[in-house]
Amino acid sequence: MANATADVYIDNITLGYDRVETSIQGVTALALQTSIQGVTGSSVSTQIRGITAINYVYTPAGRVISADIVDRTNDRMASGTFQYSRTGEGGYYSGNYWKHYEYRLLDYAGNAQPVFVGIFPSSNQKYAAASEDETMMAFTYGWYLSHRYMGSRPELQTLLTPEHQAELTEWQLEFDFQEHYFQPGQTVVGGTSGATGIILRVEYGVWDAIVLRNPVGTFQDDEELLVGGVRYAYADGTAVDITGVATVMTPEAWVTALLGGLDGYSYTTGLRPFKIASTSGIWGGTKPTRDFPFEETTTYREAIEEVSAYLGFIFYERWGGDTLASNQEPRAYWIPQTAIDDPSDGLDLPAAVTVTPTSNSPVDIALDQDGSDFANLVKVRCRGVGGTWYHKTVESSGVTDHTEIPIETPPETNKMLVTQAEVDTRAADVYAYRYTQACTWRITFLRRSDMRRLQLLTFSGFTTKIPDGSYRIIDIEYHESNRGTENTTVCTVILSSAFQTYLNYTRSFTDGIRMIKDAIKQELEKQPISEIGTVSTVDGLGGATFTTEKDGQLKPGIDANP
Amino acid sequence: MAFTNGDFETGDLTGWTDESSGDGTHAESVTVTTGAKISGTYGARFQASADNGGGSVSIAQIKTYFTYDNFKSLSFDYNPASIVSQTGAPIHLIVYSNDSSWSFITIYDNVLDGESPGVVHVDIDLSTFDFGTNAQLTFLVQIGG
Repeated sequence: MANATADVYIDNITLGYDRVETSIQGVTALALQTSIQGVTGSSVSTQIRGITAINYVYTPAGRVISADIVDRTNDRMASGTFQYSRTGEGGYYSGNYWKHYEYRLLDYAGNAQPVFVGIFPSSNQKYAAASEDETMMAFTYGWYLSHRYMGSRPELQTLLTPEHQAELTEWQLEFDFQEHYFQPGQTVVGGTSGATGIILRVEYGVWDAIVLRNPVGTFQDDEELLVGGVRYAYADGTAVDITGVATVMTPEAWVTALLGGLDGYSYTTGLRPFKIASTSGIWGGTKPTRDFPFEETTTYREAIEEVSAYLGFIFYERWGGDTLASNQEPRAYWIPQTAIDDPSDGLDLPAAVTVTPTSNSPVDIALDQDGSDFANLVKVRCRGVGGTWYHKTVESSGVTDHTEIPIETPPETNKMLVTQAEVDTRAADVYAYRYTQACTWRITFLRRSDMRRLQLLTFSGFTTKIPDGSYRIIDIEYHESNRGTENTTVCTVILSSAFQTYLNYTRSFTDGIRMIKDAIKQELEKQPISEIGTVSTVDGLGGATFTTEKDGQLKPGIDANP
Repeated sequence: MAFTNGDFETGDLTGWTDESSGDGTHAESVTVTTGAKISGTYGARFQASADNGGGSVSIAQIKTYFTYDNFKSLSFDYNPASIVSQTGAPIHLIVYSNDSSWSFITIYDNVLDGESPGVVHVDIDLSTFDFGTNAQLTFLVQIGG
């Protein structure tokens, strides 16, 4: 006689074109913006992760007292500070947290240029009887890249060489009588066999199964499946190799996948993989393939930066839409640094602007020469593929003849270099930047919200104020105050010929043992997963329990000497 | 509605294939009845039964094929009219697409004996579903397994 029955009615099954909101933050309203008109425009809508319909348009109608937007090359995201004339327009009262936010600022030609597209994580309300206001801090979507961790995507946590990828296996192990939900990244231990494996993914269906990466040992049918010493389920059969013919993941595929892929980016990072360049000819060409094993706590952004630095790529966050006024889509670019200005494969930057005292003239030019950036002694070293260390020291003649006191840069162990020639070039670049070009210029324009970070500017005719030549905007700030009556754009520029050095110089290459750690980790990952602990009990039949040193949990094991 | 007879208003399983299966001892079936309607005239009734103390599995299941057109959401209503699980065996309502195992979704899990929450509306984000070219959807009520 049946002791379990189910009688379930199902009706009204439909498919739709709109994605269902899945946010756990309770945001159910979904929105896009209509065009923004007027001198200043900003719009708030529901965070882009769950768009299904247009339902909310927000224009502050002059309630923005001031806006300060900062976009710097060395920052991992741009930020904006927006002050509203009274509460209820910002975050706490209006529930605008985490919503997609766009801000437009008029340029000199009267076009409302989108200068910020991001989200509001926080606000700061200030109450005063006569001047109540609220200040909200917003960040571009790159914020999410800094708040997502590689441990959340075990299958992407390492970017391996094609050879090492070929060594990866996937084994499917069916289970039944589940008591707890398995999670990717957990280590599963066979209660009887002692076999172990890291869960790559969990599959539910007619037959529930976990997929393990490179399991060690052989799981037995009907044995307990333990996670942290706790029984999660029972094995139903033995693990089956389902590796098949694996597709080799390229760096560009890896970056695309991290962003969430072409289909899933909107609810993964919010950044569309808009222009992700091929690494063909570079990965395994001009740059040897190498493994990039990341820690669980490494952020997506840190991981992408590390791979980018090695390959000479740049990660760039921008936005775009069909028109200036239409809804702006957050977009990610990942291209070679040398392709920034390429008309088709570049960053889609506005054309270079020629600045003269009588054309596109700024209102202020300030030389920014920071003495703390100065150095006259540079040391760089690297370790070649064969293990040989290469060194290069460059110093000024004054240091050599003892007429200058040495001012050193921290010795740089550069894991991105592998030859003496590369070390020599790197040392020369750093020396050139630190000794002769440790200066940038801050240029203040009126109503130039059309300018973008990394755009080129050509200066001519300013004599000693700024030498003639081509410059690149490395930092840009948009400021609006007094309810839009003051509208300035401040560009920090560097000679474009020094930009490459600037990019490299501003990265940290001082973790000298990282390369060695990488190699050690690669070797460790090839070994069976082992845990250290203190044996608690043995049953005399080959079984044992032990308390792990790592987390103090009681776990089953195998008695090596029954 | 993107596929045939999602509301079962034809009064039968037109457009769907009944793939119910079990241990051969107990009954499992999917039928279209007026009593199972949630709106309209007809609804689909999923009945499964098993002696789960013996570990048997019972599945009432229907499947349909449709033309994939970049769908992003799936919605439906269900009403667990009667759930009995004397041994505590799990009872699932599962929707999955094709054979792409990673796109399985367990909607209704570990229903308590005698629990009847009434009509429940479900919206599923299909963004991560891999329908492939021969898109199909399967609804099943499963005891055990």
